[in-house]
Amino acid sequence: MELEEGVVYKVVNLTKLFPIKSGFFASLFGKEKNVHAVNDVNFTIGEGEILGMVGESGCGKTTCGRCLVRLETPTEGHMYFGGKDIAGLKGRELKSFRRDVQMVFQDPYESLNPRFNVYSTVSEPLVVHGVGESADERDDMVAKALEYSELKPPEEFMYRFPHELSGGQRQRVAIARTLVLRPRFIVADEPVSMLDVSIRAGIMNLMLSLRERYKIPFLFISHDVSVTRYMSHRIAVMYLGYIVELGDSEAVIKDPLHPYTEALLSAVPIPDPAMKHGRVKIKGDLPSPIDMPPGCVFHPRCLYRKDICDKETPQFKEARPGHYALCHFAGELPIQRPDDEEIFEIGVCESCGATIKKGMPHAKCDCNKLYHESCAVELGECPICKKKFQVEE
Amino acid sequence: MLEVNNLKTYFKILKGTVYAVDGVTFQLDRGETMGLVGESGCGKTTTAFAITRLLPSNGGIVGGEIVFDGKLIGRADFPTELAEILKEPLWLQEARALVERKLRRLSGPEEESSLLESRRRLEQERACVEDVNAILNDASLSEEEIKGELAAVVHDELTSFFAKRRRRRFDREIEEKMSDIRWSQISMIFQGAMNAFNPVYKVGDQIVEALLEHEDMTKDEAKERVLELFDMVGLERSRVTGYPHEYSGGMRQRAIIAMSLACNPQLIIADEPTTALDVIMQDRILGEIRHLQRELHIAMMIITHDISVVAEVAETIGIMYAGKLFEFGDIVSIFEQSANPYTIGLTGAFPSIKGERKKLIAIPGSPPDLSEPPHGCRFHPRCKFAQEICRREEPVSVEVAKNHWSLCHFAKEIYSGQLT
Repeated sequence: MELEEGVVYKVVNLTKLFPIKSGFFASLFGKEKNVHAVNDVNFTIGEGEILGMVGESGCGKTTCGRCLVRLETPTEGHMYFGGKDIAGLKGRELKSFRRDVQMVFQDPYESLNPRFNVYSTVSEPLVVHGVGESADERDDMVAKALEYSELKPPEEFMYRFPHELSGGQRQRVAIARTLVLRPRFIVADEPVSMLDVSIRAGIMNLMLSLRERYKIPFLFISHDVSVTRYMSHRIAVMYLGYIVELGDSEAVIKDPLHPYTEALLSAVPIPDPAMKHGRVKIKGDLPSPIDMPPGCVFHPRCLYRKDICDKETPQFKEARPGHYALCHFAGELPIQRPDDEEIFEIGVCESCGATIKKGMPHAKCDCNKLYHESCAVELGECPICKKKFQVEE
Repeated sequence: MLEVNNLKTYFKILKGTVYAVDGVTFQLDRGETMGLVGESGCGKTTTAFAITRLLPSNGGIVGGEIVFDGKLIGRADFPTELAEILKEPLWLQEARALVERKLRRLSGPEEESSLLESRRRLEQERACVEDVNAILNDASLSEEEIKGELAAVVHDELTSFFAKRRRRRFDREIEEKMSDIRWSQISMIFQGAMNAFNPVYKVGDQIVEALLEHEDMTKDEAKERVLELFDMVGLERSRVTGYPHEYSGGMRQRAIIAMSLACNPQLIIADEPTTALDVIMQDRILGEIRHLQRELHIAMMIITHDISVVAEVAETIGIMYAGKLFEFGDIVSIFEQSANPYTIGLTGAFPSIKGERKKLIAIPGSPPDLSEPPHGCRFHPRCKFAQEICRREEPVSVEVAKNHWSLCHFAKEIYSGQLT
């Protein structure tokens, strides 16, 4: 299939299920169970674009990334790259595809072989794919790759072993290893989450400059929203295997459409003590990816839930130009933006745990507990001091 | 309530000595939350372990004092402290100051009650201090000879067979008294606390065990208290009979918090309490911590590498780098007008979801090896303001504003904005 102009990677209805091994009798009589790691995911990655993927642990973001480089074979769906459907590739074709895509892993302490020095680690892909005519040529390529990832001078690093390198340098070696084959697409799976703050910024700036210089598109996977915002052009928010929101990173961060994104953003700590922000607008825990909730996957935890939500699966619709959300009411909900600064927290509602802000109708009882309007009306009186509620501004 | 004065904690390793914590001073008031921030290996956990006296056997306090609630719970003993002083260039003045301080402390009558140590040990120590004092005041000796004599005393006290045995016995005595303080007055939430529960015992029973160990109560009372604690941290009461694997990560963290609250401590030290959790759970746990702390009026020390977590919960902040406290004080003041290049570097390297998207500036290089820390200021190889003096001299902590200390030669210039 020919891809549209400017699109490098296109993912259509990607689904990945992991079957759960059950006992012999259960396999005869019971229904087969699966972990729904990635569900019906659609997105494209443009030329020289960094697509950020955020979500909590267990939301399927890593599995999605691994599918894209074919470390996992998707259960369903198509992935178009370089004029081919990658989803079903096998054998020699798969190997040649893997030459074009590379992955950076999370933990540079484990992803490098401790018995390989930097030279053999970085030249290994060349050997595997039979690139380079002579040893000299390979030396050259390795040196260049090290230079690109700012390990200068390369001769000084080439014959060191991983234990002689700091965390940041190790991650740079891992990046050099992906660069040596001149890939056309890189998946970076939490590349900075194991690194210290002062080193992290260096690695992020390196990846940004690589994109700038070689126009390599990235899929940047991270659990940290602030890091993803810094890195990416567009952000995909994943929840329970679904992409619930996708759009320009500034649009997703500043003006989210999906209630889950709202909750996620409100939970991100802000490195500035002068700024207070709202409390999490979400209840309960992440449901199991084995028994998925019916209807909208987010409905059991959603504060804006309506009748339709547990019955019908919402469409992934374009609520604003280029900004998609998986929600029946995308664009219609009174979602709070992180930059709304008029939040003055008075306290927390005793009954539902939501923040009570200045100017919000609330009730106060004699035992100094606060309740917000709807909870106060529902309860009628304080369960402890039995004072009748009077709602005030 | 908690006072840490010039704390030095070193580890002995095959290669030599690791100067893990080197002269850290801070105070923590009742009901206050302090955040201790730093990169991995900067000594923040070691500081916590020194306070609770949980250091591994190759580590020890070699200088300074830790005072908790009027009690001296941690200090270096005199010969060790003297041995460290002898290695320094200004050893004579420092040794004199130390002896003076010790004599003052050891003669006070209130001393005994505020120390955890036995009378016999104090007597031993007083004798030793007096010996050293006599040597220092002996006018007939030259400086070199004084040093030699002192080294002989130190050697004798530290390495002779009987002195070692005596020391071990005293340490056991302190250990016993300390275990009364731990948990009932200072409790600690350890790093990776989610895995701190024993997987083969029920969570409720483990908390009951802790209560029975430290409080004078019957088993039924303890069980009742566990239920109360579960309510307090927002766990369902029915979960008391659950095993740790039946809990989610956030619930385990809550249970750990319940456990740390069990004996009504006055101080909780939380070492990376939310690191392994997702943002949403992290935010809830932080909310919970803040809420409980306000309600119960507990002092808290949160140790983390994530400056934004501290910005959310703490009132004071201490920023550590390479075993030293680089900046300490009121959190708003430090964030708004920092007086230390490391803090500026750290905050500049941190992305935020608020405001404009600005370019992050990495701090060049990487943290030093603490067995051979750089001369002078420990940050100078990575500092953009570094000058000749920084390579040569160790800076001292300067109070640039009320409740705002910074360890930098140019703290005042940076604070007032002359140096940018």
